[in-house]
Amino acid sequence: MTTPFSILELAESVEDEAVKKAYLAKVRQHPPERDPRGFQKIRSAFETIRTEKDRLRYRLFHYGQPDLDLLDEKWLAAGEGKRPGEKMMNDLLTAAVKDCRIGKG
Amino acid sequence: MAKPKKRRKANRKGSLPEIPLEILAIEGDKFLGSGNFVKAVSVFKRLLKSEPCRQWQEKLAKAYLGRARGLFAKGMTKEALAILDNLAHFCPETTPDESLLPFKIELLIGAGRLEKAADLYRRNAEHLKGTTAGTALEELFAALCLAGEEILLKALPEESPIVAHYPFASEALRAYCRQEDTGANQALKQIPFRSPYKHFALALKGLLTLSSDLAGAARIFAKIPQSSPFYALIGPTACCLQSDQPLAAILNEMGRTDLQRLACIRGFDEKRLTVLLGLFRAQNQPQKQLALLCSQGKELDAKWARQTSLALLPFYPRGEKIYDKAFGRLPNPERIRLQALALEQFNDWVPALDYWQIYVEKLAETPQTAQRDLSIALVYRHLAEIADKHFDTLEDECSGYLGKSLAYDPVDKPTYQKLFDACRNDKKALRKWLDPALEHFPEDIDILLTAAEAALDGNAFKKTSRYAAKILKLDPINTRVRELLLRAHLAHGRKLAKSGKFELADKEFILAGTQQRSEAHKGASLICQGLLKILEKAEQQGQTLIEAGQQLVGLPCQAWLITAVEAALMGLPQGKRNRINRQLKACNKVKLNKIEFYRLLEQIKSYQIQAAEVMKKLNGPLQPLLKESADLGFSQEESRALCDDFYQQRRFDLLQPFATVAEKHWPDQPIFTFYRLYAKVAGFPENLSKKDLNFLEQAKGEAMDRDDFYVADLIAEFLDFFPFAPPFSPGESPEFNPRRVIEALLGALGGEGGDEPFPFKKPKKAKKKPKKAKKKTIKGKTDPFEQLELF
Repeated sequence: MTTPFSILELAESVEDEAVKKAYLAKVRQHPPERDPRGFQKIRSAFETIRTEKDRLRYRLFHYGQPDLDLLDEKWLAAGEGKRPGEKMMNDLLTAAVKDCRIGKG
Repeated sequence: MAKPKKRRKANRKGSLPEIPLEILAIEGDKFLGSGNFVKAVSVFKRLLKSEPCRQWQEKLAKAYLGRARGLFAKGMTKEALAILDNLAHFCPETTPDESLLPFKIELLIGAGRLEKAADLYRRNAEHLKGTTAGTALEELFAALCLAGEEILLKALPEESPIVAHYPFASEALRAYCRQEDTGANQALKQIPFRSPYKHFALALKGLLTLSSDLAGAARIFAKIPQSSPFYALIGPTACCLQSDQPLAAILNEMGRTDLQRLACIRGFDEKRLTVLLGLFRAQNQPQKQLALLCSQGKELDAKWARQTSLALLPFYPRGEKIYDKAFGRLPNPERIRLQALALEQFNDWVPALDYWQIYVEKLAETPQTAQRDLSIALVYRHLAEIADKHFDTLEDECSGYLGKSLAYDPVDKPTYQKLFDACRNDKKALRKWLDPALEHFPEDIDILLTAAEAALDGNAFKKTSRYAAKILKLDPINTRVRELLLRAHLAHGRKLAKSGKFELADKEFILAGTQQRSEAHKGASLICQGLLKILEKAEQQGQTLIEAGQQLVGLPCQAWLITAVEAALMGLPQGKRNRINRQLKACNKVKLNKIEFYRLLEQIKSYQIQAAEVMKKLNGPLQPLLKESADLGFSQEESRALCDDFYQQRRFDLLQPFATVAEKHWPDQPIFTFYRLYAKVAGFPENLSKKDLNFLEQAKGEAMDRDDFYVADLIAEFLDFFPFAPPFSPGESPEFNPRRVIEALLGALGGEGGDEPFPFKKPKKAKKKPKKAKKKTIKGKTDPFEQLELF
């Protein structure tokens, strides 16, 4: 699901300077010593779309199956910005109580 | 036609009429022990009918309880309650089981009879207080209150913590749902640690932490037991956080309920989750993924779905129609581009090249823009890459594509570098690309260095100096350019000396001496000056300078090698050269240490570039000295690096002794066996004996066992050239032509081509160039010439 643009949170019509800026901001969030995996992902995305030539190369020759990394930590952490309503929580708890088995033993 | 009525089975009670009570009681025990509570109830009820007995009544109560639990486990709450009523009716005098009360309350909750459950709990609150079951029931009531069953708040005593802490928990929940995190946190702080809402408080705290600290949230979630009703709030999320698997894989393993819970808690749209999981489940099935994206991809993100579908089309080109239907018709050039990518995907490189060419033509027809030109240039570079990677025969085409790309995008350093590489042996072509490269990159050290080297190759010494000076201005400590400059001054000096311009030559030699700080280089410069004096017939002065130079070089064999090579290059009379050569030969008597050996080797390497012809003649005198050095006690890494280097240079005379010594020390390293045998047959596999062949096969096997694929490939590639390999084997050498075999056989039978020699007898020499690219990747390899700063 991720593209170099989505990793750096950039639009496809971006300029070189903006790519660099976004990269540096992301590196601050995911420094290599604390999050090597995240940093590697960011670095690789940056190198793929660093210059206009790189971005055009990506558009011309990139193909591949969807990368389901959209379901990554960030997505899990942020959800989609929505919180469940009280009714939904009530239903969830009611169902949870039904599933509970105190007298198992 | 009406179905015939099934005959009812005989009454079970009737199946036990004649059995004595003692035996029946034993049977009942067996049923009870094996968990067959239905039969146990039947047996003990019958026994009690025959003879009232306290013991049997206890056992009947146990059977009832077991049966009720079984029904509850199946979700048959009401039936379980009915069984508990039977228990109370038929076994009134039995000692009540401790778990019976909480179980009954739980059953009442399960059956929706909340008031009755609360009443029973209230009446037995003292009895249940402090017990595990009591605490669990409290939590269950707390969860129900939060789920909106406020009737319980009236039914339960006011002083109960369920009722007392409810307002805080309820406020926290409401604030969380309204995204008022501060309010939620404040409300949570009001909930005491021992509250029946404590797990709820932890769950909500974890959810609030999730967006800022995943690890922290995971730690909080880990404190909530799975038996708690509040675990349902965070269970699927905690599962995602704790697993090492990719999230999509975890979700794929989740049941529908958990997915719904996750979607609800994390605010995911269930439809989106379904599409995502559909894509996950259709992994490596581009056809299915494309269909899903085209039909439901918009649920996720329309733009993303279109782009992803486009990226999938090369895997499934037939999907164009469904793509067109979902996202609109693709422009024609775009179709051609996708077709070219699809052909690449299926490794159909020839038609892929054709399609890319058509794509370029189509692009060229469109109005000129910077982006169009860049696109054309990139496609040409892509074509060059394909030609280079997949067609050995298309070297010229590769350069052609790169050249064409520069017409559209002339400012591309990597393309110039590729062209320089391709024109290594074509000075004219190299100059053709150097000029525009220098125009676009006038201050690029790499380009300037290539220009300086090319100038030196063409004996354009002043040009070399000019480029070198430019580089030194940009990078004053560039050792490579200093070395180049030294070579240029020496070469220029030699040329001038040969043409009798001694004064100018002397100046060049003096300049050469100033290029490097090392004593050896200064010594070489003095030696050249001395040789020049000899040419000028100033023998005594020349001799003094040579001796001074040799003193500076330090190592006698190196000093005499420099003297001999320079004498040959400057065209000293043969008689004088013979004397020098004799001195060089005399150096064999001295034994070298490791550092001296590396210095000598470096000097030889340097002269091999500058004066290959002269070195061919001078290698002989030094050979015994170098061969003996194999015993200097090199480490495994040093030996490997040295052997690699001799292999690259095809120095079989040195490779063999060094590989032999190394093989003795490290017999488990198949590379040394290969190098020894490779050197033994001087790179010609047809000279391998059967025994050697077996050694090599064994070494290949060992390399495979150690996952050393570089060595295994090296041996396999060498053996591919072995002339007795099966003629039609896949690894057949280019020298071994099956067609020639067939023609020769036909000739032998009296057909055409009979004059051609039979190819098995004398196979062509398979001169294999050693691999260069792969070598660099060897782990732990150290270049001996880089290990020591020799000069």
